[in-house]
Amino acid sequence: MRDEERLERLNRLWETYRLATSEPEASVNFMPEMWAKIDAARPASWAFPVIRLASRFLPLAAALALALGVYTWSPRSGSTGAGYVDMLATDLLADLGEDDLT
Amino acid sequence: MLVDYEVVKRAQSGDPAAFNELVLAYRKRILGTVFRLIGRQEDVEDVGQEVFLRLYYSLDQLRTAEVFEPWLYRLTVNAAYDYLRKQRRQPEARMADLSEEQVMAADAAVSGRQALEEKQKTQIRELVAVLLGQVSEEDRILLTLKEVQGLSLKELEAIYKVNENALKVRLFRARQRMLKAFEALEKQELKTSANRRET
Repeated sequence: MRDEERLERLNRLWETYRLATSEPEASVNFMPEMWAKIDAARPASWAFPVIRLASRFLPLAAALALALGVYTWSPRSGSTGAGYVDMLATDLLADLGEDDLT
Repeated sequence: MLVDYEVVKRAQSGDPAAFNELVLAYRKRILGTVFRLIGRQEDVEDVGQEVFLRLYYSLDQLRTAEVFEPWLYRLTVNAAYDYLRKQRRQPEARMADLSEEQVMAADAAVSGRQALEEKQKTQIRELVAVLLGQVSEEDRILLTLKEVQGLSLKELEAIYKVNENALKVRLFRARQRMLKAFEALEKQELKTSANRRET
């Protein structure tokens, strides 16, 4: 059987299937059970404002963290780039120099 | 739209009566879609309630009332996916589970040789369930939405959030896989008939 014929039969199958599957009616318990599930999933009353506040502050906190990260990572202007040990060594040399002079 | 945009907006603002109105308007359509997607009558209401539960808690994320229907379909598809994933480990109906009589009766109905009676409707449903059991969940859902629910490419684009070309490719591949399953079923049918003639 050629592909077109097979596709045609498949299309007919879909059509027949559509006729064979009517939309089911909901039972009388559908609405009460649905509302019970909605109520069961409802967060505690105190949690609502907390969640809302947290969701509003989340982008702000992320932006702040990013800005701090960039600030910490970037080299500061005016800095010599010398480390703590280098500074100690410079001071020591300076002290030694003064002693030698006296 | 089965309801006014105003009802959607009122439901978004937390009006339970408006939400009830939404559910009553869309309940039948959603249950029908769920039934065709999951193929199990006994679990249709559970999955349908899950869809409306998700709708209730996600309505505030809906940008405009105009996109309500694709949004609801998307929730339906996701709930059906979740259900099918949970059911994955359970044994599914296989082609070999269909009797030759069932296949022949369904085949006759498909060929339009017989009017659809209740028994044949059941056979058609079983045949399609078996065929859909041979393809992936993604294919099953896409084909059901397109071929059975009759959604347009535009509507599917809104649900799947992909462009038309990508959707056409997906549909083509899904149809090919379904055809392959159909072909395998026909081969099995021929083999069974030949065996019966020999004996």
